[in-house]
Amino acid sequence: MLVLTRKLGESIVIGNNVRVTVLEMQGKQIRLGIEAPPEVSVHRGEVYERIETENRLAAETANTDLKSLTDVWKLKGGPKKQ
Amino acid sequence: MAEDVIRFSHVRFGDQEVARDKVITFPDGIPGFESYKLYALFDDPDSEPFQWLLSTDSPRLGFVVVNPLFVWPDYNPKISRDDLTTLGVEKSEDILLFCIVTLADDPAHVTVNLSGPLVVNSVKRKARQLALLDDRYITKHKILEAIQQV
Repeated sequence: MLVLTRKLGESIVIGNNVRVTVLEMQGKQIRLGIEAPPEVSVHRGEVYERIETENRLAAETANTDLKSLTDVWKLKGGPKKQ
Repeated sequence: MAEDVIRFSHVRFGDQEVARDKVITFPDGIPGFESYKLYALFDDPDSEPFQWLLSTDSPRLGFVVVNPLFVWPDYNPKISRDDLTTLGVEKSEDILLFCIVTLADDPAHVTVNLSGPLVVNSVKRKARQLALLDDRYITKHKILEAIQQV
């Protein structure tokens, strides 16, 4: 991992189109400003990791039998497909 | 002339084909599976309202998906302007929304990821999984409870 020290107001540039600036520091919290083109998605690390973990679990279990669930759906006359 | 169908195979559904213009491209892949970009939406009449999103590149990769609005009619994820631009969405009617289902042997434990909806531009067949910053939605919403309340 590359480690850089930055002061308030300073930034780092990633590639040629992403800039991350330190905007504010307060106790243990740091506010970062991120400038990136629209096709680059920016996520909070923990949110992205949670989704990645869930995707892996979903892919591993995708071949489980669905029947008991679709039966409940039919029984309820579940919301019809539009 | 290029063939107008893509043939692929899946461990559960065997050999399949999909019209080339129906293939859905995830340019960034799906988190956890970034190297797989092409998927086909597969209907299995026995499994309604669920559908399958099958990788056309790997016979072992597939997700069970559901239109979240069937189960949570008030579901309202915020899709950013940047996401719409990236997907080339011109009208909101062109958007298809799916959420990934995590199955379990006990139907009471089957969950739907409302925090990471799949947004598809149905015209350009381009898609992306969002990571919502919205406290109302988590990665594990129990679907059985929700169905019973609809």
